[in-house]
Amino acid sequence: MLILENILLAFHSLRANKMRSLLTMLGIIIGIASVIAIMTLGDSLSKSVTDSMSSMGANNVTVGLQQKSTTTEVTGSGMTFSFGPRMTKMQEKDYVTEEMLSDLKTRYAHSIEGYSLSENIGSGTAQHGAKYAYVNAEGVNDANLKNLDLTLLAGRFLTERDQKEGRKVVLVSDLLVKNMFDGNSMEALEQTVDILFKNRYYTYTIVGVYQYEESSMGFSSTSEEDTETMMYLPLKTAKDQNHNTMGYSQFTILTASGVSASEFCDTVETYMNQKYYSDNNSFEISAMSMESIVKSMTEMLSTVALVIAAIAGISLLVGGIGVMNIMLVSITERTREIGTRKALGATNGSIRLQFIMEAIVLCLIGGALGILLGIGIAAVATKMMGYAVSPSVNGILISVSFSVFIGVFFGYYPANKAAKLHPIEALRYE
Amino acid sequence: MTDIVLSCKDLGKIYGTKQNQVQAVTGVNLKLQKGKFYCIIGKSGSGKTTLLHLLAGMEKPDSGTVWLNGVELSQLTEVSLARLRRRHMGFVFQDYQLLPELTVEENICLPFLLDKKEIDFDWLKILLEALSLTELQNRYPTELSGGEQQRTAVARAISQRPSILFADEPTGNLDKKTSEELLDFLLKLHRKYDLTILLVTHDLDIARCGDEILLLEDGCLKTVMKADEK
Repeated sequence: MLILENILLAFHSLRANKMRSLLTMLGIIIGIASVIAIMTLGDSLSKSVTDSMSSMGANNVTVGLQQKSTTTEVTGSGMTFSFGPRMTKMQEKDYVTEEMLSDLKTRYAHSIEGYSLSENIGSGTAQHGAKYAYVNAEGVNDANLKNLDLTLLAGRFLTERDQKEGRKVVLVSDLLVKNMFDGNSMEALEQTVDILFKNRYYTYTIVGVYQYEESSMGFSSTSEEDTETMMYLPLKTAKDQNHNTMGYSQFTILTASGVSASEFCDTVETYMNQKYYSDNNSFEISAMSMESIVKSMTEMLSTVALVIAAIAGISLLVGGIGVMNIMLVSITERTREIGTRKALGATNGSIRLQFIMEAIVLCLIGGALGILLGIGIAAVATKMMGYAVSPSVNGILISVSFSVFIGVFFGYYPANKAAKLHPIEALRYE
Repeated sequence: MTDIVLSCKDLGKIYGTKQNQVQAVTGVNLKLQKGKFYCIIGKSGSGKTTLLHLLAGMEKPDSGTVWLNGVELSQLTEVSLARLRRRHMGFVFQDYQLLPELTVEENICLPFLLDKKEIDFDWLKILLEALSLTELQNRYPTELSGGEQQRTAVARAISQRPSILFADEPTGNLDKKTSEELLDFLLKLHRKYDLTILLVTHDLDIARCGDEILLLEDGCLKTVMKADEK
């Protein structure tokens, strides 16, 4: 019998027992939905993280200070107690200095293109007359600004002179301009804004307006008026304002092209720890590339996905047994129909195929509903987390294949039972 | 001389266990000629239906042989036997046995689908008209009367132009008037298309409509007589 006819017959049969078919499909729906949801979530998360990481620079090496993981052992009354590291406040001697950076650059001149340095001042409120906007001010050097890859809409970027002299000039977003200068970027240029940081006002002059881009990560539930945007000022200006003369707790190395960022991490770590931090009991240097961050995140997601896949696997197994059970019931109910078909000349093979097709159709519908439900769950979850949903094509393909497999695997036994029925006994079945 | 469509020799079938054996059919010898209408009559339990099933190859005999168009059924594989049944035999059951999820037309076309053959729509149209089913072709079995369902079953049985039509008590579930109507249809098809029919019944009036009557008693074929002899 033609495959298409079998599929149509399968639909007829499922339609005749809608509720029973739906309940049978539940196990498959839940199993497939969990697989799709977790795979879509994983893919979306991974894609968003990779996108934002690569926008930060895929070849960058982020170097920071981290507390040494030493343990303290105390012995008393014949017993030894081990304590983990105690949180220590960073002191001037712990920071990375300009001299260290120069030394590193000299040592690895071919590998280091520059340093991206920053000094965060924090969140504050910018005011101009009666209008205001929320900002997060950060001092940046030239390399950092270049790395940010901002789109300039009006004015200019920060110059070398701004950096050197620590001028009180800032780059603001077009969203700030929209809130404070009715969106007129040209009018905003050379205007002064008062910014309230920690109960103190600082006055800056706007020299440039950049295009604000909503981050693909993080919540974006606030209105445009309440959105906090970045305000960039010269690194020296920010350090002066923070009275920071100590150095850097974190910096980013922009590696030269052709240098493997992940391999260079180890080189930097070893060099700096041996030369500058071997005598430091509290802190050491830790270097990470975007690649390694993405890798460890993907590994973490894979572990979660594995656990969910195991749970989904159990659900699919239960679903498959449900399919087998309902197919056996269906065959018992349709014994006379099987007898009729055999009397009309249906072969064992065509009877077997008919019931396997029915099981496959049942599983495929369950699978399709599961895929839709899974994408729906993932879409809601990713929206709540502020990521863009990216349906897992692999997940969908795996689910469809797995649905067919479940149909064949769990449908075979009942189908074979139907095929082996004796036509006369089947026709006599009451 | 007329061709032999179906024949059997020393056909026998035993049911039950060793201690409790029932000889359903014993040493039946038959030769059915092409284009004739045969009726098997006998009391309940005389082995009529069993004989029909044995002749149709739906049950394996314990002894004897059956030939359809010269082909020995016991020599065929399961697939070949199924093919022979699809192409050369038609079946009408007492309780119609239509598939409820298919329409009248789809039920009639089922043998074509089982045989993976293109549907012969011209023949289908002739059948629908001959059995007065044209108006009912899109209805489902549950929407039909008993007579209409049985006419659909007859159309399905002869849709492949079989060599022989087996009918097991086709009027058993019908009232007298509907039974007569169905019989008229069968006779018309038999005469018009030279259809060989083997019909099982316990109703002598129906049996009289055939060309020959086969009387079965306790599984043994007692008499073969011309219908007008009775």
